Amino acid sequence: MRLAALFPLLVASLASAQAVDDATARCTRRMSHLLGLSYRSSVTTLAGSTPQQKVREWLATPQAIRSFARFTNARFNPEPAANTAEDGVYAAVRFVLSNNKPWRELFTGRYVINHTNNIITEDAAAPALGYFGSVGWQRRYLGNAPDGLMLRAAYRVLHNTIGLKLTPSAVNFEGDATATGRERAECRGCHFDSPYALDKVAQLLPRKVGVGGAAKPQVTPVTPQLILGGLTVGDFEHLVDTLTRGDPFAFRTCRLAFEFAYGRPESGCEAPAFDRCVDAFTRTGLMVDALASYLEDPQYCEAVP
Amino acid sequence: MTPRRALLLLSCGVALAGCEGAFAGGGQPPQPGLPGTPGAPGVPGTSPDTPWTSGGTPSAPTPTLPSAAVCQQAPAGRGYRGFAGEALEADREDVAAWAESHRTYPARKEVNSNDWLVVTEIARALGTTTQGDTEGSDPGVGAAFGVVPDSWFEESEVGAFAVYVTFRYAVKACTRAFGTTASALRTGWFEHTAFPPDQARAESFCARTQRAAWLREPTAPERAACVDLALSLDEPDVKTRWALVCASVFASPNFLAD
Repeated sequence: MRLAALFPLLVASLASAQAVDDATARCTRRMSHLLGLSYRSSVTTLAGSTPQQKVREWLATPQAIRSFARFTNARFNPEPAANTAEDGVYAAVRFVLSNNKPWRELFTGRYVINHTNNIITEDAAAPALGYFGSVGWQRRYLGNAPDGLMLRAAYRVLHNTIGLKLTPSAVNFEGDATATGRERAECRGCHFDSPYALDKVAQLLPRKVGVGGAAKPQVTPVTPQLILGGLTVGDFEHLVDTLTRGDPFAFRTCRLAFEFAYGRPESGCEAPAFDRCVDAFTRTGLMVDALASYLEDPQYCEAVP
Repeated sequence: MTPRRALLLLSCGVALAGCEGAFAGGGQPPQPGLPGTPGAPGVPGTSPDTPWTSGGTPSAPTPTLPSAAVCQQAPAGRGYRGFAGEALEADREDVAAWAESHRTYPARKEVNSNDWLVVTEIARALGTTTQGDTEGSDPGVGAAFGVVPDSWFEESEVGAFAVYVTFRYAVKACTRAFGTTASALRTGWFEHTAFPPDQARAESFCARTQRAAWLREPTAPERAACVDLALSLDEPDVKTRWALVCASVFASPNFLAD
């Protein structure tokens, strides 16, 4: 929290805050903090509207898009990118929101991401893999499996699209990353037996070839895999297309939006609000509708003494 | 825990009996590679009358990485007791001496430069420059050393220090606000700060400040707590006293977590 910046702003804007009623000022302040907007400017632009009537206008601002892109980036990667080429998620989220694209295009858009400046262009010839198709992202998650399976990338694909969370076994003291090691009893559940079996999912992805700094992803012929509870999935694009349809994707999306809005996952008692988000998102496929379902809800601005 | 730290603890764990024996058996001879061994016969620092001084440190070779053997022969040192007789040294970690004295590179840029410190240090060591190296200012390099880059998000954690910093600044801001000449802010609010707090002034001032900061009416207990502070503060300067009351409203969770 940048308190030093916050206080002068608040003191200077006390008069304008009092010009609107407390609830309006409070709601505006909460949203402006969330969306990276200036509180004073936001109050000024209200012009008789309520803050919640301005949600969609505010969500479309570059500041709000950057705020949500930062948040998503921090949820879709375990740590900040080491360089520009690895920062494709941040760029892709900004691209999708700025161009009012369906959220699933983040994962399925035919995009080319320039890894030197992260400028994104659409290309009908590009694979329908969103940022998953960028070489920078694939290099980031090459993993260390000796057989070249990109297990880290496979996990990220599942985590980012449907919110799968797995914890690496701490029992594998030997650090055996080979297929033999992954077949150990404490590992094979996640690697081979689960509907989300990492080894099977990774079979659909490019392979890591080369070692050390020369290692790179390379598209190779793949064999269809029986995963996701009995579905036969043919290749990487088919995998992502399948993952981004249906309830798991909508659930993941609305969980992400809720965490952005409230800083925590929804509770059981908040299920109705969550369901409204799923309904709104399912209708349009737009992240802005998922976010707006929470921010436009009167509950968002309720004061809780 | 770093891998090296984990390795150290594992090593000492294997040799735990040896470590305990050394403590129970009292002094041990000085160990090669360790700068002095307080507690050993004939070594300064053994008794309370001969405190250890740096002047008594024997010349020692460069410390080597610890091993289980070093841990087994760890010096006992003296025992210190608290008022309840508890062993004050009991929480010392069982790792070899000087094994954890390194500090990571600070996450900052070189003075008078836009380059990350680690990058300039590498170039300096090699006798070259960072000219043209994008890593010098790449946010990813900063992120690797703990700086949150612009493309990242971390949830704020407001702890005691943040509350203190907020409070300290709010005292300044409140004092400045009292000097305003805007009648809208003076009437029923800052006008009170010219007089010592009494019940009525404190209630009026607290309610107005809390509402301005929290953007809602305070509850009765919240207002009462503020009034109580205004009436009970042991601060002779009237304006400072009001400023402290004012600042307490901003240092509260009602403001810091909106």
